[in-house]
Amino acid sequence: MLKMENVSKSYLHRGQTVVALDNATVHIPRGDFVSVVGPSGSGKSTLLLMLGGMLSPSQGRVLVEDRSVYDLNLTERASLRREKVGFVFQTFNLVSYLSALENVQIPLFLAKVEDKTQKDRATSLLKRVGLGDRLDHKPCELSVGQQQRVALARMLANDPAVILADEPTGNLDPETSEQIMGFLEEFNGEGRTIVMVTHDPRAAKRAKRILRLQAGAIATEEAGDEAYRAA
Amino acid sequence: MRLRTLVLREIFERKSQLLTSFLAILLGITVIVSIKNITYYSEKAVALEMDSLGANVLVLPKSSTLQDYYAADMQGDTIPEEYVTQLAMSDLAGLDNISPKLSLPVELQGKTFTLTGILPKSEFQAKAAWGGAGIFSRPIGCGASVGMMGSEDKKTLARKRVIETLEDSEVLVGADVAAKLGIKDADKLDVLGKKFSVTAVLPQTGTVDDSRIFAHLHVVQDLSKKGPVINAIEVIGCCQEISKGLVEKINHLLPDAKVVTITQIADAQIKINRMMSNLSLMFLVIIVFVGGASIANYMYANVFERRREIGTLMAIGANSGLVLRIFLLKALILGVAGGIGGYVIGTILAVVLGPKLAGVIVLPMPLLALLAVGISVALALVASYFPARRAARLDPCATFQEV
Amino acid sequence: MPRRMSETMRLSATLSLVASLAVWAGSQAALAAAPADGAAQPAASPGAAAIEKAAKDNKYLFIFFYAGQDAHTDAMNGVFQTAMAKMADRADAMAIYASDPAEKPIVDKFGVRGAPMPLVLAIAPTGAATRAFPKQFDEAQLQQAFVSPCTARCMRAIQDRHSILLCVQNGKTQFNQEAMQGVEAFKADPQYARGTEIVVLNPTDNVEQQFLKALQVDPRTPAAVTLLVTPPGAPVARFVGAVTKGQIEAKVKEAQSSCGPSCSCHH
Repeated sequence: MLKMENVSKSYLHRGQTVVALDNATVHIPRGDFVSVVGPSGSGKSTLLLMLGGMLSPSQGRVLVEDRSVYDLNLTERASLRREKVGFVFQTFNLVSYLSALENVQIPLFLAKVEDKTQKDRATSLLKRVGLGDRLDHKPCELSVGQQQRVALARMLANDPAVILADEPTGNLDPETSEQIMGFLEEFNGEGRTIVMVTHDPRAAKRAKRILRLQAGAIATEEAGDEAYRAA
Repeated sequence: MRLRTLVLREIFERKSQLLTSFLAILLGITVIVSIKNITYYSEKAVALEMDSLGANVLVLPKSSTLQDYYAADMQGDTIPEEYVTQLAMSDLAGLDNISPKLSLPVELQGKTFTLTGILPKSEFQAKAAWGGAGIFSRPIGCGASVGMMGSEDKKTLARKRVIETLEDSEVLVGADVAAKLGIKDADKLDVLGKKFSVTAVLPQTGTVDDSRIFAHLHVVQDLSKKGPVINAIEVIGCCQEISKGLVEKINHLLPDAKVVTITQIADAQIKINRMMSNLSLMFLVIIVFVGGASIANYMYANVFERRREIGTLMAIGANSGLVLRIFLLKALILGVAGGIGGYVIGTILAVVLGPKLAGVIVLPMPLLALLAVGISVALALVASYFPARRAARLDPCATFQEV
Repeated sequence: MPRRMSETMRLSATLSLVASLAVWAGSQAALAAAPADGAAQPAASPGAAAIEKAAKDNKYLFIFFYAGQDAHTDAMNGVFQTAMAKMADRADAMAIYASDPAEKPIVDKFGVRGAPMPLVLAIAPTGAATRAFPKQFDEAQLQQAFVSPCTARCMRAIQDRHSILLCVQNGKTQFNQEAMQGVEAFKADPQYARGTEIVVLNPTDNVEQQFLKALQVDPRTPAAVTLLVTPPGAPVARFVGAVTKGQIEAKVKEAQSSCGPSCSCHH
């Protein structure tokens, strides 16, 4: 499903070269649930952004379903993201002036889905994450947990095959984190591939595989609790 | 969810910030619309006046200041009635229709009107004979009156500005006078102790003549106790060719009087109109720069403020074309709103202030709406183009790294 | 007769006599108090009487109008008196105080009010003012007031605000009848009857040569010439030969709506 072949990323920062990723090769098959862990500055976010087609590598290739992402032009990459990838952010990144329902409608709007269908689908998604009674609430009127759930619903809108989550529980309390992780497992159960960057060891363990990054390179790979459960 | 929903929601999110930034353009458009509206009607009034009075010449006291043609005789200073005889006995062409006037304010039923004494044409023409039998060979100037053939409709005084005959006890009243005092034809009217009979109520002219009561010049002279004087002599010309030479000739004949044409009076108004036109142009330039800068500034700030949002949209699959469209649509909507708002406020100002500032009735001009919206939209779009482009070129990654 | 009845009769007779006396006295008082009304009794105005008399004698009347007594007025009066003495056979003279209420009709009729004073006005036997001399004048100028009879007649018509159909014809001119027919037909129309006068002028009349010249009519004209003259005095139409009522009417209408030959009218 997702492949990174000998991917390196370095950039100049105040005259000095910084290596974010160093010759990383990753293979993530369909249906996999991978957590990416490591200390700050180890390149976790860089890896995620590259997988999502948002950051081009200095060297190497990134393939999504055997298509080289960075050989596509910007518009094609945007289409790819729209159709295949769902993002979850640590800071939720909801649009503050839109209601929960409207936020979830955005990806559908981008996919040029018809108005009525947008509403229906968004409503059912929000109901799925347990926010059927909060459709018209603005993000500022929702708790952090509820906001992340709206983000999840939004992420599901275009039925993505791949979910890229950047610290999804970073700003949440333990109970809410648990709720979110539950949803992610559910999505994975539906056959979606999940790559999750996280600081939280317990969240990391919920994945099938755990990739540990150190100084831009993949140091270790271990199985998560999920692997044991599935097995 | 549609593009316009996205844009409109965001616009209404923080209205105060938005309003202040667009205030410059709104005010600028308001001023331009007002000025253009008032100037249009002022120019129209001047053209109308020039058309109907263009061939006329006014003989006034030397000390008079000229502002309004129709009120030229209401200034208080006088010239001797002898001037009328001098004009009659001269052989100048074009003096067939002259109207010497003496005015004084009168109060009737608590309202102020102007009692204007006029000398009927018949009495002026009688004096023409004083120059001798030369009248039979004098060229026809402006219009022969065919004597008693057909009786005169005295209401034509309003339009022709001369009257053939007028008896001592006759008066003609202006439309406003009749309306305010409830007078009809053949009513009786008491003015300054003398009883008059109302021969006719004149039609509405929209000028100060509507609040005049016309009586015989000599009667008014007696009532005012001012002696054989008049305030002005209106020479009603029929064509500009004759009138052109007249001013100089009358000046020569009556060196102690001021002789002016409507053009000179209109000149002042024309100058003002031209100045206003230039002013509106200047305003246009100002709002282009100030308004444009203000909008651009707001848009840049807006783009910066929304960078996380833009990055998110891009992450979700929006391409840069859409982001550009979002900001340009916002600019378009605000441009249209600014244009319409400016047109509405500007038109209201023009309609209310026009009569006070320029002395004309001002009506809305729908065509100005097109101009207003056109300028506003063009300005908003141009000023927002670079900020919008910056938004479209935003690197989403940069927006995510600022946790 | 019963005593009572005779007493009643005596009483009523006395009362009637007293009443009649009262009425008579009252009417006399009223008559005495009534102002001399110049309009109702034209003879009360000396000026009007003088005009009548001069007309009867076929003489001109020169009126010296004055507004007050000052050196200049006195001087001009002197000139006036001297000049008029010399012209006594052709003209009468009188002086009128412009503000004299008795002379208001004359002052109003000739529009003297408001004119420069002193003013000498020459009035022809026809009653037309033929010349005025405001402020300053001399004997020689006063002589210029005399005009030909036809001129005076026409000036009278103009001053009465009538139009004139001046028919210039004599035994030698052609189309006299045709011209006259048209003219008379025009005058017969009640619409124009009151305001039109017909004046016939012999082109070879020596006395009228200056008048003909002013009207630009050739005295040796072979055909009758008919002129339509309207106030203030210039001819508005000229017909040579035959004339119809329709032609005259057309010219009248044209004159009423047009501006004159020298300009491109915009009204």
